[in-house]
Amino acid sequence: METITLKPGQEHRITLPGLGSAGYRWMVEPYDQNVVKVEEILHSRQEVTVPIAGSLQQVFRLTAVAPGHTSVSFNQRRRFEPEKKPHASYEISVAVTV
Amino acid sequence: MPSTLKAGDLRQLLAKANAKWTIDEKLKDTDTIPTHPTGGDLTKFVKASAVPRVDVTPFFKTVTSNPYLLQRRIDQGFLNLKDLPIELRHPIVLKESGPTPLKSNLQPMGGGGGGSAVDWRNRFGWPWLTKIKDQGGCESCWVFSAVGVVEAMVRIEHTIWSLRSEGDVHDGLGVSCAQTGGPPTAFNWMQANGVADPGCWPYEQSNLPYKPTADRDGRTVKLSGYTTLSNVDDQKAWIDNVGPLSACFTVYNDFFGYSSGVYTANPSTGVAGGHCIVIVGYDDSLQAWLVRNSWNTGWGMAGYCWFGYGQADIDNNAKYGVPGANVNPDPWTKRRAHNGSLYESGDGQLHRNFELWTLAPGNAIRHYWRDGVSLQWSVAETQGNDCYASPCVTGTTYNRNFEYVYETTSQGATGCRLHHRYFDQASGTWGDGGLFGPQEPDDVEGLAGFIQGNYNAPGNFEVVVRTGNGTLKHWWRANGPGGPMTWSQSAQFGSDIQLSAASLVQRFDDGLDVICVTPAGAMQRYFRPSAGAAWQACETFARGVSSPPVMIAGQYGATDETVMGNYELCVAVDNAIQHWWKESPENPASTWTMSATFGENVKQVLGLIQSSFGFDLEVIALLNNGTLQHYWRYSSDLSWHAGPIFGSTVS
Repeated sequence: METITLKPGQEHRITLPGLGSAGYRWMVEPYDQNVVKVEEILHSRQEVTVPIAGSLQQVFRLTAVAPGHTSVSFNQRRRFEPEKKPHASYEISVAVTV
Repeated sequence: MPSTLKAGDLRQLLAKANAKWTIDEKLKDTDTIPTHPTGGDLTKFVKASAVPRVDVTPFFKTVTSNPYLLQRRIDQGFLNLKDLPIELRHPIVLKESGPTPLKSNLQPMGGGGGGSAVDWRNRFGWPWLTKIKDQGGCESCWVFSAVGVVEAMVRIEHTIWSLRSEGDVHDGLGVSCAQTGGPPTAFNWMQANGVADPGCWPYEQSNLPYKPTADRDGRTVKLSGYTTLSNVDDQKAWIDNVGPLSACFTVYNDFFGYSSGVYTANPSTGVAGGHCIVIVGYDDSLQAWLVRNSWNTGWGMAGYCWFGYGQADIDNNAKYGVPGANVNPDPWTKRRAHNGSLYESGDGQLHRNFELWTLAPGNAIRHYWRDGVSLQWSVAETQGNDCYASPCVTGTTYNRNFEYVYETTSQGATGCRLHHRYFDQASGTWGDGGLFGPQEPDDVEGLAGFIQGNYNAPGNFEVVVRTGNGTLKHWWRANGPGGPMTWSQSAQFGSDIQLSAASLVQRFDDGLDVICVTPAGAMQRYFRPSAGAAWQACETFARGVSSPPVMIAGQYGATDETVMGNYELCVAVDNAIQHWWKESPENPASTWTMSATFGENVKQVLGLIQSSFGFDLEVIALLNNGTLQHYWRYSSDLSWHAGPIFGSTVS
């Protein structure tokens, strides 16, 4: 598992391979929001070239909130198949220090 | 860079490498191998505005095999009833939809509406689309989109389920799970190579090297072209008059959560990528396309979606359709839909010619054929001198060869035997498969049931025939790769059998059924549940039967491609033809029902098919004076009709 250390207010970006053309999305599992905030940076139609049957990468911005430690898990799954195992998973350990 | 390799060179290379398949047989040895790019521009959307508008009306003026669609085109003035061959002049009052005909004597409720709304899930009272599929975790929607159109067009134009394999196209193209493409890439490949069934090469997500079965050439639906449509009005008219379309759009993140209603894209949710689907209908009252997705049934409305007109670029991009005349189903798809001496081949402009082989003077076999456009019967050739009774014919996965087996005249000390002959489609010549089967003291005394079965690929041949001691004997030929291709006896069963018949059918569960006639004039079914198992005597039905029946498994009752259709059986009794049917052959509780008696001066039923002409049943009868007559039953009202008397077995 990758580990990163951030200072409060510092940002870190994670880019994960997309699979939207197959119905899959990377979803963030519950994490300690007192330590870090996770947001997806959405692609605007005007900003990207859409591949005809391909998927765009998903980009997430992690912003350190306050000192502490948490891990953030990302699971690539179809939201309409919640009972199935994730197609892929990614986890990152985040330490926020002053 | 264009290829300079010639087809003959590649054929030699493939043969040298013991390749499991060969290249497009339409190519001459001197032709240059066509190339089909899998990347570059074909990974980009094709803008509708960049595609010249084509005139679609010529496609709608084509005489389709589908009688409901034919009526729809007549209703709109594209065709005139009086210009059609007389067999096709049978008006239908179209309705929007109805229950699927489960019983062979239940008139479909269907219709087709059209105009403001079309839904190919259930149109004219019949289902036209296979079950929803799942592309899984591969970016292969473009293949599912193109194959979905071909699959639907075989069903619409030839009224038979024909499950196709996206893996055959995807892996045949040599692309990996993660590679994208566009529908034209998949259509182009299918145009050159056809598209096989999953049993030949399945869809998987494992990036395995492409190794289809050795008989791929004989189990592919052929495609002779597709049409790119840029205008929305044309696209709707195409869906109404021809069939579904392949289309692509921009996927916004709100699309994943669609579950019902009309999808209206919310661009503020962000773009996830591009996606290709099949448009299988539209509804102007909803202002929406009916989209068939490939994300399994958990998404949307059991895999479908009402997709708002103009949403997510769907109408900014070109769409792709396949004219009905451009699909040519394979014999493997149609293997249960014919039996006896009659066969519907893929020959002819509309791939619906009938082929018939009957006994002729001098113990010869005469080949008749009916052109699929003019519907006129002609004689092709007469050959052989050892035929005792009209043969049982099939089309096989050996490159679509015609193959038949017949009872011979006495061969001296061995008595009457079975003779196998085949028409080699590659060379255009007949080959001799040789004599086989029972011999004296219990030689062949009856018509042979002959099929290509599910065991091995190419599938083994299976034959059941009556012998002189009143039993049935089951013979088979091992056809698998490297198989000896020799005939062996598998079993002897039954007793006091009066007549054997062209009635051998293999079920979806691999079991074999065959119908014979008892000395009391009843028909009796025998059943073998699996290879190596014993044959079991089953139910008897009917009475007064003194001629061999012919049996097929048709499309009535086949609610989707995974459900076997009803058994349909025709037999001559008291100078007329009786039609019997049995619901759900795999249901032991189902029983036989006689639905109609028709015809006159009939001596024997020689052949039975469920044809491309809209689920119609077609019968060839041998009349008492030795001539032949064609009868058929319209699916729209279940009425039987007498066709032309032609040919002769005695002159």
